[in-house]
Amino acid sequence: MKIKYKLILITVLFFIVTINIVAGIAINQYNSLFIQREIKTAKNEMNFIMNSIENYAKDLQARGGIYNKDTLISIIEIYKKYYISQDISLDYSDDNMENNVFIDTEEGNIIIQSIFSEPFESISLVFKKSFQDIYDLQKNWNSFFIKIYLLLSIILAIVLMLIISRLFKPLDNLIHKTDEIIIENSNERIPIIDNDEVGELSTKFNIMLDLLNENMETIKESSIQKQWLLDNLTHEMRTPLTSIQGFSEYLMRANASEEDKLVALTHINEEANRLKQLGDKMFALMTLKKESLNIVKLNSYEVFNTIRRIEFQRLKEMNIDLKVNIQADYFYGDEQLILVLLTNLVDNSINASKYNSRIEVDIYSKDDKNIIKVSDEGQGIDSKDLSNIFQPFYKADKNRSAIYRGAGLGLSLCKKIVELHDGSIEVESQKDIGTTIYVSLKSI
Amino acid sequence: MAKILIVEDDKSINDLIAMNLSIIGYECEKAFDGNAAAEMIKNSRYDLILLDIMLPGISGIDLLKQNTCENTKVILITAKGGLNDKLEAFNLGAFDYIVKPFEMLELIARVKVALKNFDVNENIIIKDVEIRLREHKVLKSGQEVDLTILEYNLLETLVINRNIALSREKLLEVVWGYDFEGDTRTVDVHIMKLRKKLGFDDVIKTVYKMGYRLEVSQ
Repeated sequence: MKIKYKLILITVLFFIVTINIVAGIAINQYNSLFIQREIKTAKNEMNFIMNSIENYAKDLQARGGIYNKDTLISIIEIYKKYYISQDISLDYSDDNMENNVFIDTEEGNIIIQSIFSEPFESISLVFKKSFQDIYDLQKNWNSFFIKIYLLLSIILAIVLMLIISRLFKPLDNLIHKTDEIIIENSNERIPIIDNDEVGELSTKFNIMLDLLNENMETIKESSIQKQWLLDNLTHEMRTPLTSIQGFSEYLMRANASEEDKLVALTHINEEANRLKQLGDKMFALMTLKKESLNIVKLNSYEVFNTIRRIEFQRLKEMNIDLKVNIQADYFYGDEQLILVLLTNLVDNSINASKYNSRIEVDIYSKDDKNIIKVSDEGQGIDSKDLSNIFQPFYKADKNRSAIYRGAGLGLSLCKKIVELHDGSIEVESQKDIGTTIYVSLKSI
Repeated sequence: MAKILIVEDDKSINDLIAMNLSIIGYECEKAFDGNAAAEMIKNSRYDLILLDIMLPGISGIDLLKQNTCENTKVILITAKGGLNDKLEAFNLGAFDYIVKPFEMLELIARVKVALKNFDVNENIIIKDVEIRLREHKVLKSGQEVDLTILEYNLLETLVINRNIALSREKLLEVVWGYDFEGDTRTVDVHIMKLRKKLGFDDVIKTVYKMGYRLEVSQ
């Protein structure tokens, strides 16, 4: 049941009960007062009648009449006849009950019994007067009253209905509008009419809708991003898989020479490695968390010696001179991740470089930051690609990438690692002149 | 023997295709980018070009557009099976296409279809046996060998896919057709007869778990 109906029902019920109690008490009070007065009148009347009867009897005695019980009874009979016309019934009784008052509510009578004075104390007079008319009046009054308050209740309910409906109108509007927004999934907002609770609720509701929309946008965006990542990942996996599948089939079916078998096996091995690297990088990109970082003080010389060792073979193949200038002896970071970062950057530089060229790495302090600068004399990046190179799977130069066969995850991973260190990574590049990457890390 | 140019930038895929086609007797050359491919096509004649669409330098589609491959059948290799790419490829005159990743037998089948006219003119000589594909005739020491149709078809399939093991199921499917309900023993029986009639005991080899392979020195 809606609140407004509950409200109306409760109010009307409360009204009826209250009126009932109040009216009941009032009518009772009024009735008992009325009866008290009736009893008093009746008593006076009775006293008067008794006195008259006694005086009558004394008169008779004075005139030499017989003064006994029978005389008294006959007098009473006379009075009885007379008072019947006045709706008073008189009688005598042998019970000597003094001043007893009965109220016979069933028949609507007041009965008073009183003993005569001496010498007739053995006889009592029973006085009976009807107050039926009062009873009837009271009944009429009661039924009238019931009608009145039924009428009042109905009027009250209607008035309440109107008032409450009016009061609830903004709430109804709110519900209606919310329905619309839910069903039509629209971008509408709830109009705010008043500054009352409903207005406040509407404002809050609008704020909630805004937040919801914002979150929806974010979720949509991230799901698009995820889908895109997945599509790219699938694409990147396809070539190595084709190769592995093909070469293994070749090995199984073909009557191949030992030499060809070795070629096939080498390819299978290389492609499996490629898949593994793709998986590792993807996994790192997806799962690297700030909480798992172990930031320590790193010795620049040690770090760059390690990098030199890792890249030794490739540098030698391309006859590239890796120059390292260390101006900051220490910097801070997670050792493993920093190694991944620097290897990736130097790898990229080697990939971009020509045979017989130079790669320069600098580490120095600036303000409260440690800057690592990696620059090469390679082919550079087109300015139109610069803004995208940190995107996963983005390959600026399709020719080169095809030969070096990276998946396009390296720089995304670098960016992620730097971001986890609360640092920043920037790139400067000129086509055919070279590329410089700046990594800036906090120097606690 | 037909000469095929493989234009594919991924070295492993290029090697894979080349090795598969070499083993069944084709002469293969490789190009890893569009420019090199254009140069090679200009300088020598190929019977078939396998062309990747996404290439460094000149793309596969551009090579087709520039009519570089005119007079030569082209099978396009694509990574995506997008309809538009395929339609464009056909409009530009490609003979067929194959989508990565592909299976070896599928590749060979498509190449075979493209080179059908060329291959048919070939007479294959194995030891003292000469197989005339055009005439459906087999000669042993100059004498015609009496083969049933099934035996000939089986021999032809093995010869076309020489040096590659074919499973009994595959042979059933190709030689006997999809509807055939016999079991793989049928294949064994026919192989035995072929070996006997042609003296091919050491030519048609049983490859453990894989099936049968007709081996010819390359």
